[in-house]
Amino acid sequence: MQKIRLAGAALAVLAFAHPAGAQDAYRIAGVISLTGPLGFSGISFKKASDLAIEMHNGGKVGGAWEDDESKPQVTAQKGAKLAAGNPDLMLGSATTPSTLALMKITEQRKIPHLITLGGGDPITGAAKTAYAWRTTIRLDMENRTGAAYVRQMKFKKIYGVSFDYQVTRQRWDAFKQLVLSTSETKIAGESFSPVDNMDFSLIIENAIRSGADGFWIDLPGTVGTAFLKQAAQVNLKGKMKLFGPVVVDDEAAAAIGDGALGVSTGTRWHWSLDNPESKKFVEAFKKKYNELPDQYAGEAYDGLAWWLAHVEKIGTFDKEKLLQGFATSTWEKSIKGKKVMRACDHQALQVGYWGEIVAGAAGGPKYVLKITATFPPEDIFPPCQ
Amino acid sequence: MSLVVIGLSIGMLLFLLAVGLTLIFGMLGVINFAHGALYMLGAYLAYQTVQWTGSFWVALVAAPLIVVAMAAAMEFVAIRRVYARDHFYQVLLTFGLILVIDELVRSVWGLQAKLLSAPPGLGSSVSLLGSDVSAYRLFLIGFGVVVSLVFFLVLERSKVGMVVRGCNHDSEMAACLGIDVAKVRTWIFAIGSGMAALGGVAAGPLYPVDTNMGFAVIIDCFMVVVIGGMGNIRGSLAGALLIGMIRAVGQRYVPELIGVLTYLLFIGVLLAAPQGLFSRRMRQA
Repeated sequence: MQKIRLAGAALAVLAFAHPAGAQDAYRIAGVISLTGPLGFSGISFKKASDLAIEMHNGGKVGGAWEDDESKPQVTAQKGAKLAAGNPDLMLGSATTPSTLALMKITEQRKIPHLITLGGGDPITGAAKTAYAWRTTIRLDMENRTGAAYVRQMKFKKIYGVSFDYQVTRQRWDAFKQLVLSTSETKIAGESFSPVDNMDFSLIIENAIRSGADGFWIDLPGTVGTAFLKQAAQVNLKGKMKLFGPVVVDDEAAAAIGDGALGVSTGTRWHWSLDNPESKKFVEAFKKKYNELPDQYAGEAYDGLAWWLAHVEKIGTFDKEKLLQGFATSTWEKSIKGKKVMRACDHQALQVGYWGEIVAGAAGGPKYVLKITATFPPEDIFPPCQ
Repeated sequence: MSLVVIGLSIGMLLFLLAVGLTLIFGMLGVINFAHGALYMLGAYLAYQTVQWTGSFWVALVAAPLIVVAMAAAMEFVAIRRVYARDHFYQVLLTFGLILVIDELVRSVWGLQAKLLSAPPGLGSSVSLLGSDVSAYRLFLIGFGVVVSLVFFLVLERSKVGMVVRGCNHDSEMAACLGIDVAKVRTWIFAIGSGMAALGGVAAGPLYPVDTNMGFAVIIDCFMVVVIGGMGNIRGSLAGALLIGMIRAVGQRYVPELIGVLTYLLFIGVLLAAPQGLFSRRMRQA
């Protein structure tokens, strides 16, 4: 089995049974965040991608991975290095800026680019390319599932906090409009936190003073963890319902403690989902890595498994033919039930999940995200522009 | 009321972290970029101590002591070789130490953030003049006051402090008087690093214990040292409280301008009093 390298630009080969043609091996390369603030998602991504290759090829093979250190400029450098070897498929990256940087390279080099993590709207919107196809969710889908939750809960007033950053301000504005246009809920107030701020005590107090009964928290990653820790110290969840697009998952809850219980959030996928493909993936992941897969692992596995099945079905490594076929592809064996690729924007239509952190069962994780609602694609994806 | 409490708690946490850097930067002249990494290491050691003993209070003592020992070894092996060298070498060396400490933490504890909770009794809120404030923040303020008093008394009123200040002002003369200057420097570096770890333990219940926490605070620390004056404990306290209050006021009224306000203060001090707001002018002859 190929060793995973964090530096160097050589490509590993994937032994792939190919019925015809001169090329015997299908070459995959990936630029992901193995270190830096998003290293946790990149490690999951890599583990799951390796597993997808193994499960859909029958042999033990590694991929060639470059670490972009969670920085878009490094993504561009490492992506260019890997692209120079003309791989058959490029994977990555974790964040929207990094993914967009990689998309420019794969478009220039005409390399199929599978996006299994980056959720930013421009990826399949204004910055869409002919070679980049997204199998994971779009971020605005999270606004729609959140707005559906607001309707369900019948909040009188909600307060919102997000980063003081153009993309996140726009997302909050879009969410506000959705809530105001689809429910009776009013907006009690809003706060925008600088990206490097980790102290939210006064924002929390502003929200309490607003009289809101719901709090939309658009602060992902460790920032969201800091927020919920500080919220727990003043029992904020006793005063209003805390919820957000991706504010918490099982791992974050373990770092927050009991303050995470009852927090509601959207999620891309969860290991507890009750469908055969999901269970098969979870069992295989646990057997290989002795841990439960997180949502990033789930999405990385599902996207690559879909693509590899598509290559098998089409029966060629020809990039243009594969892309042409993928435009109308349906993935019936998705760990989320079913995904349908939409040709107009290269976005896979799929269900959306909403859940709440609860105490886990004995012998398992202490805190678990329990899925409480599933939204069909027609409810959460906007029509193609 | 809550604005004052929150500002003071932010300031005290910053002081706990920056006082160590004040000692190291001010008294040894070493630009210790690894200070943030030691803060992070302190938080992780506290997490592990709590896992083993179940007690935050044991962690509050044990984690800094472990880092003091490690830092003494670091000073003996590496730091003392760059005292006489250009600052550039100190930056390179301490940056290398960051990478070593980061990898050590990652290999032992992994990439996922860890939970360090406030001790029982301090994990809830207290009603103060109509506002709910975190009991832990009140503890932080009191703890910071105690630490600052201890530092003040030791450095300004004790024989130990006199020796330290003597080595800082004129190490050659101190050596002539029989003081083991090398040992004093080792202790200053070790205790300064221990204070970084103490800051990490104190921060753990408020912020996620993760591998990026050190990067988030190191710039603020250097600002506190520069604003207060190098080697000046009172200055560190005042600088930290100033920055803490600016952040609190900014969060309440203009959160998008917190960074701008903080750096404006820093620039203002550099222009008006580059030696720091509280540094004393020294007699030259």
